[in-house]
Amino acid sequence: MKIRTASTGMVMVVVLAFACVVLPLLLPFDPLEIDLHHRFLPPLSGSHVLGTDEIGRDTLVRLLVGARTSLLIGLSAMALSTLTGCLTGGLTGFYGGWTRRVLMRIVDSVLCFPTIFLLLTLASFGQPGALTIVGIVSLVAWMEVSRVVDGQVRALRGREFVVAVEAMGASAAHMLLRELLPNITGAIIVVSTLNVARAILMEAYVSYLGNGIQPPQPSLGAMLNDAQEYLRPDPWLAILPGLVIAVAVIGLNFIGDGLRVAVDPRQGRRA
Amino acid sequence: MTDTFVSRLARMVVTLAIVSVTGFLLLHLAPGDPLAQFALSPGMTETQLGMIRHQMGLDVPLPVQYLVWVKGLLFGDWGRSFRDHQPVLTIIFGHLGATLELAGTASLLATWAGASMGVYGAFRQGSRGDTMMTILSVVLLSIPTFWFGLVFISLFSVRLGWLPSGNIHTVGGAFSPGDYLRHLFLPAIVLALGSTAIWSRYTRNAVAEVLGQDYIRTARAKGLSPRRIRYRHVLRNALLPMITLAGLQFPTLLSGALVTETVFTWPGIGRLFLDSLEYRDYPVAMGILMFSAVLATFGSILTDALYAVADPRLRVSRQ
Amino acid sequence: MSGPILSVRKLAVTFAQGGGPDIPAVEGASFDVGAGETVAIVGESSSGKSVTAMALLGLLPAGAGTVVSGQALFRRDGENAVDLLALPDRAMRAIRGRDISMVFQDPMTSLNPVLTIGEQIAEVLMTHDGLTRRQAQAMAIEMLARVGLRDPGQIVAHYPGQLSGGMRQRVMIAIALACRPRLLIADEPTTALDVTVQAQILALLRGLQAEMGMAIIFITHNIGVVAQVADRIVVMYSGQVVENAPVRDALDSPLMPYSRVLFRTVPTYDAVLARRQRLPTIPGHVPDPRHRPQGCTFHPRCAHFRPGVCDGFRPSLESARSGHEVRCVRWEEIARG
Ligand SMILES: Nc1ncnc2c1ncn2[C@@H]1O[C@H](COP(=O)(O)OP(=O)(O)O)[C@@H](O)[C@H]1O
Ligand SMILES: [Mg+2]
Repeated sequence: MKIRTASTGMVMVVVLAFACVVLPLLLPFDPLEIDLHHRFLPPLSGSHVLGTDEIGRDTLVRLLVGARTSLLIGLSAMALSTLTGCLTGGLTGFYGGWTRRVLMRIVDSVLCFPTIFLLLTLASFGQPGALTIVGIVSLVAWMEVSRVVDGQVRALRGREFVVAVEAMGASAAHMLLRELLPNITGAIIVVSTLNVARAILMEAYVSYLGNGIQPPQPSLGAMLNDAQEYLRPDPWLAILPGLVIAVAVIGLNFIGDGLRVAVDPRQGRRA
Repeated sequence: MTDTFVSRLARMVVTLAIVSVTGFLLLHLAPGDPLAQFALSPGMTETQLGMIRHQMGLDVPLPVQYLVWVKGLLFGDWGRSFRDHQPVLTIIFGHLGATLELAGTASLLATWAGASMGVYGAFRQGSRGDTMMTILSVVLLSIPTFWFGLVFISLFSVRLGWLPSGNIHTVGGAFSPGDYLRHLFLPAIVLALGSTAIWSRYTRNAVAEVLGQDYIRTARAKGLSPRRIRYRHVLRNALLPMITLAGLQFPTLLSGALVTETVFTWPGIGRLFLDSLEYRDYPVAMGILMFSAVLATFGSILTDALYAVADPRLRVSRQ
Repeated sequence: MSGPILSVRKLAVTFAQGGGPDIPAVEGASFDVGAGETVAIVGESSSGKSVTAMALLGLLPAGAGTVVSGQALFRRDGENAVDLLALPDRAMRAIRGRDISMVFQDPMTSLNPVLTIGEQIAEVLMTHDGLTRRQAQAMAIEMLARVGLRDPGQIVAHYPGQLSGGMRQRVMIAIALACRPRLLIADEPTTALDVTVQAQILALLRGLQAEMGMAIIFITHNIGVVAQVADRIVVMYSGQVVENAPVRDALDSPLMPYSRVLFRTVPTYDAVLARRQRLPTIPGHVPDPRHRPQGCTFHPRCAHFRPGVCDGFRPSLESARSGHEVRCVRWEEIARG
């Protein structure tokens, strides 16, 4: 059952990624091209497969380009937060003591802020845009990775093979990079996959609340923000971006959950 | 026990201190100026702006501003809004009721629905129903709540006209419970969806965990009825981890409330926070931040207390 | 004695694994338990002892993957025998905890941590004997006294976390015996306890058996324990009963090569009694139940292995002398020496 959901997730993500890279090149529309003669077209009207928005832009192209942005943001934020998380979690798990206590205090405090509060406050710093979002999402997301890596490293620390390597006089860096991290890549991959999903969701929230990707550039969250004014004439404008988000995030979550089972069968059977 | 309590309290103070410093720094260092709103008014001179700046206490160095603010905070004077000069606490309490009603209703709904789903799944592990519940939880957690808000509004308000699309009661109408409930319905459900999924997953794991324990096998070996085993033995034990989740849900619900209030123009704390961010109304934004941080830490302390009451193992170690 | 109270015939339990091959955990086990008798089931780990016990009480995981077959006729006083393996749920529940009780290996995890000791004893009495809460609580105190716990009036209000392992196992026994069952299944009841506590629990069980007259199926690793408590020994190896004999006969002249190694370091009944030894370790491994050897499943580890004889077909359990059964094609040759 888990294996099947994982491969379903994989298919969803791959198809979506492929579509949003290739299709925009094939479609005869530009995501920013305004056509006031064809506004609010419903889906399946002529060449506009999914219709048009309030100023006649092609919905399909905008969705695909928006999804591409979302996936890229998700992946970059994941890379950044995984790096930060591995570094901090690795160090605290390895050295323990004060480093660990300080870091965990910070993590606890940050978790005290409701996520959206944090995202919005952080968003008011940089110029709104893709890079800023990557930054703020990773600032929020690294803690999860850090906690997982910290826990795993601490658990492995006392195991024979690590103790043996240490007894042979290996340096801390060698032990961390050569002995410990390779043994927990599985766990890291799982959190990272789930983090891509979370990052895409966070982008959607921030852009929806007006602090993310700015118009006219399409983004799934921003499209939803636009759409809420036009629920009466054209509910499709709201429905479609949500579905695309759903496909991406559900797919990634399925992959993550499936991988979790592969990495830790005991937990998988319970979950 | 007293020892852990004191150290808990100490940790809580440290946490709140970190929250206050970070929050303060973030807000004040962020680009944007609270005086922007005044600068636009016609005939505003540089001198006048300076006076306003002085009155707002923004003309002293940041650390001094922070200390002044913290001192006020500790003595119950949380400052005044830059926008309408009302005391911050008055403003917060003015909006708090609406948020609590919304979040309270939503968390009741979510706990009930999610826990039922989780228990159902755990008792039928691997069944089709269980699989459906698991997939449903993933789906609910994978879609931003505001999307459900938009879709529900477009369906129930715009298309069908059954329910209002926003506000806490009909504008200009007299207050009536029926009218209020009709307005509460959609936002409460939308806010509940995400937590329902979390509750469902969590409950399922908690119950499944208990079901695998040796003492459940003992209960079966005693010939007890399935009903008794389910309520006395399984759920009693699964309740403990669920108390923890209840405590942890607070920040999540508040985040959700912020978005839901935006979608449904619900006059609560969340929208107030968004507005205060937009206008750089530092005292109000910081007030809400601290308020929610305090509530969240109290939530976790309350959770521990409840846990200690509910778990005989802890009660014992205290003796 | 009028015939056995429990008569197990061709009990087989198979666990189907999602994907992988089936696990035949028990294959055709047969044995009898007379009223008031103690039957010890011995054998290495994962030979199917616990699965046999759980199958009798219908406690195996209920999923579609578990297939139980065979017969287990159980006779209550003055009633016709019922087949435990074919009983509907409700009837089985009426037997569990009342006519047949079970004590498990690990007392640390077998009691519910959030219910008081009193509640956990009382609920069996309320379920089966229809006692009121008050009567059941009074009875619980009495049971706690009977299993040798001091201050039973206090202990009823305690939670398991407040008691030591030995005390908890006494509580488990109190729960099991509260309704005066005719049969008690004790699955390695002392394995998890300290040596001195083990002896106390054994003495307690024997005392209570003398007092209440129940039969006991005693599953154990410990040969010394067997000699002390058992009337009869059933030896299991890789899911099968390989020898079944009265205790003195079995220990003094085991016939199956497996039992011979099992009891080798403890050659006589009296020596066993004196030394209380654990099962010696036997070279080699118990075969994976998914891939059992052809023929006699013990042949890869057997000192008396004869190619073409032992690895051809599965030997059946045959009667060597009265009351002494063995599963080995060469037992006569071997006995002759
Ligand atoms: N629920 C189960 N599912 C699959 N295999 C099981 C299950 N319970 C027991 N087994 C297998 O059945 C065999 C016998 O186990 P058990 O009766 O517990 O041995 P023991 O003699 O040590 O009590 C073992 O190989 C074990 O792995
Ligand atoms: Mg066993």
